[in-house]
Amino acid sequence: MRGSILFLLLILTQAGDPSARETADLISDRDPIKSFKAISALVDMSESRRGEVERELTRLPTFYREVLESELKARAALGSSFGRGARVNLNGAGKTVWTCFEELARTPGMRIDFQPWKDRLVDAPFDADFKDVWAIEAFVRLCERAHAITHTWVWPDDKLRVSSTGNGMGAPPAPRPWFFYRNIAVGLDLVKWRKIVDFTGRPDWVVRLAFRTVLSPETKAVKWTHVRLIEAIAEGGQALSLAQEEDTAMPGFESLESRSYQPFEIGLRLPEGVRKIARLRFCVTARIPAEIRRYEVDQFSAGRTVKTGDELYDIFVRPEEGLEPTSDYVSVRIRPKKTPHSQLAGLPFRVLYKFDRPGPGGSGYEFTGQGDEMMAQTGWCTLRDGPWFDGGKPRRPLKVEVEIPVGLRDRPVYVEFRDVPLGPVR
Amino acid sequence: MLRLIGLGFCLLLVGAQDPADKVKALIEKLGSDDIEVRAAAQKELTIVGRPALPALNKSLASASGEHKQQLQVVIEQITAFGTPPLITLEAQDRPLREIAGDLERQTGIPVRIDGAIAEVKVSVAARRATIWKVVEDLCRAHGVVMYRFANDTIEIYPSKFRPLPCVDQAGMRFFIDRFIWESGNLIPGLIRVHGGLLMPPGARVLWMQLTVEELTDDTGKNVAELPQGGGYFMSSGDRYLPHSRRFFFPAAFHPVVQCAPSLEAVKIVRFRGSVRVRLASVERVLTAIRDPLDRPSTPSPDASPCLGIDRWDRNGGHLRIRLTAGWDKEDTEALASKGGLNLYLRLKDGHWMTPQYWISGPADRGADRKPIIADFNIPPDAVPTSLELVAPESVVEVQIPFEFKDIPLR
Repeated sequence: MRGSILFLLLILTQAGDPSARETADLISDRDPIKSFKAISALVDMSESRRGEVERELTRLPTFYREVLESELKARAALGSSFGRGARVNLNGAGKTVWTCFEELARTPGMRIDFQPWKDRLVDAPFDADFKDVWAIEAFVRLCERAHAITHTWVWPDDKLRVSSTGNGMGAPPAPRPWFFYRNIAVGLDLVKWRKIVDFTGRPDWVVRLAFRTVLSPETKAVKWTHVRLIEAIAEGGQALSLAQEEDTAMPGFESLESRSYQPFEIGLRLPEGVRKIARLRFCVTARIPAEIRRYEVDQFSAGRTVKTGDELYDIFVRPEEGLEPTSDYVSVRIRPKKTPHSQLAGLPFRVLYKFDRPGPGGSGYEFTGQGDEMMAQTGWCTLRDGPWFDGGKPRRPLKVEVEIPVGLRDRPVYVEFRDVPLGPVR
Repeated sequence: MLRLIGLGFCLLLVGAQDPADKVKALIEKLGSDDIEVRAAAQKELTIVGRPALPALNKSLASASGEHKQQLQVVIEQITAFGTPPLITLEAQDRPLREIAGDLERQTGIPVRIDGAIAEVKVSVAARRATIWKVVEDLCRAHGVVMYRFANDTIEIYPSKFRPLPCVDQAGMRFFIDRFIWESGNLIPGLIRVHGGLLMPPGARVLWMQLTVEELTDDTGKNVAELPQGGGYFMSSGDRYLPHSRRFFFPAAFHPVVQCAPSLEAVKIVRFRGSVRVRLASVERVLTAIRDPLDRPSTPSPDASPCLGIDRWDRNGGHLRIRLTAGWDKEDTEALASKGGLNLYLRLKDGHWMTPQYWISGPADRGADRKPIIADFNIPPDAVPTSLELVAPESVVEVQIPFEFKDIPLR
């Protein structure tokens, strides 16, 4: 009897919702915004109607079929780290960005940190008109209105951060194309043109598109890897290809900072005259830790190395003597035990310090992948005997904490841009 | 005519002798009354290079007059320019791996072949040609192998051959690796040049300097001479100071202001300038520490010049030394004006390294004997055998003019 009532309730509940078929019908190559919104709805729908959703896969255009398949797998694999695809309405005349941020922060999964930048941001009243948009989209647009910048910090935080564009900089950041999907925002940050004249023939321009990412705190992406170009179509319909690796007789020599932009970039070869990409589709993998493991050392004795660790890492906190007369420092050496250091290259970790008197609280680092271990250091305290370098009382560490993301899982992120302006070559 | 035949005969005999006798015979010919015999002997001795130095110095001690002068010229030439890395080779369809072995044996310059092409057969013929010319010819003939300079090694790897513009002079080669033209929403547009100087191993390069006189495209725009002031500078400053005495000195040249060829340009019609290289032909070791990493060393308070090592720290390929150096201002000012005091870390394999960061002037810095930090980038397994405070006593300069034409831009 109770089962029949529940079944009846389920039918009644579903009667008001669109079917998987109706939702899938919204997906087409013509409108990526609608298509990704529909994909998100299908992913949510798959929790209770997986079979119905999967039956629609074959009807979808190739790209969106691949996206939906990947999203269904990712949701199953990542659990709560997959992130909610909350949509919000923020409307009303004469609102300030702060009232909007406060409203937005009440959305599940959206925790926002403004400090210490709040007083530097533009907060003129405006007419808010966000109707049924992703919460992350509203967040990014509010940041733009406040002349603020935002991005996901290298260290995955529990809050979305809003940063000033700098004291005295009244100009808003340059408008940039954004892609939004559920709790993920990918923005085109920089367009760089580059031509290498290497005496092999007629050189082409290469355009390097550098992206930034903003994710809600539910999805702690610590690293971005494996950018895979799916499609890049120029405004004239030409397919654009990935730029080849540059050849040089002087590997490792570079006179200007031209390393890849973080978190990722794409280089495309451009035929003569192309100034816009009509359609750009790619997939990039975010690496999501299962947990952030914390290692603590809080017992020290002067001149001694202290060790802690577990099955994954050994951590040594060591007194060091630098070469400069005033350069006593404390090193924190992290030695991986299971994964070779070379495979950890680029993975961020954080070291937090608590001293017996005020001092800088910590720093973020990335594993270099070189050698057997990674070293972080601070010159703000000493573990050595004797007076401090200035003759005064030395600052001593009370606690050293090392936080390392462990159990990394892949979260493929499919991205689609339309009408990407490449700007003039000046 | 008879004289020329006689000279040729002499050289033929010299060529058949054992190396020590050959050097001895050539030294004797330096004292010849015949100017052509002297010139030929001088040339041969510079080709023998550093191995000839002990015998030359021994002869110098007892020589006099013009013969002594001749000996000094040859010694300074060899000291400054090192031993030319010359190759004599006749190879028909031999694996690259074997040819690389020959090149390495004849010059001492490591040559590495990418595993995928190690057994590829090539043909090459060379008689007293520099190693870089031989490697270039070999890659050009094959078409899909290329060379590069990495970690003080010549690497040959699979890639489309790129004919790098170059100029050979005095056993050196100046080459352009590529032009890099960049633009974007942060950069208005600039074109810079990467290139390098190839030198005989052991050449005592004090600095190199590049002057770009013209970089003109086919619309007539000369990037090196703009109304607002153009020209190029080296990314490391006016002059490039080498950090090792190996054979390859990479360098980058940037425009003074951000500027680039015209967007309509199809090619660079002319890229013209010169490279000036100053070398030490006579160097004086002011003071030295043997096996410098074995133990700390304290300089005597009265000694000048002096050198002492307090501590050092080695991390992979990075060696950091805290040292005390002292010298007299009067003694060193004149030397410093020739190229600066230098600190050489001599390695067991015979190479020298100079610090990435080192204060070589003003000359009175040594007077206060404060600790100085010197940073070296050295191979992780390298064994330092001495640390030397060195000053050039005599220098030579070489000017290598270059002019490259019709470089396609699109």
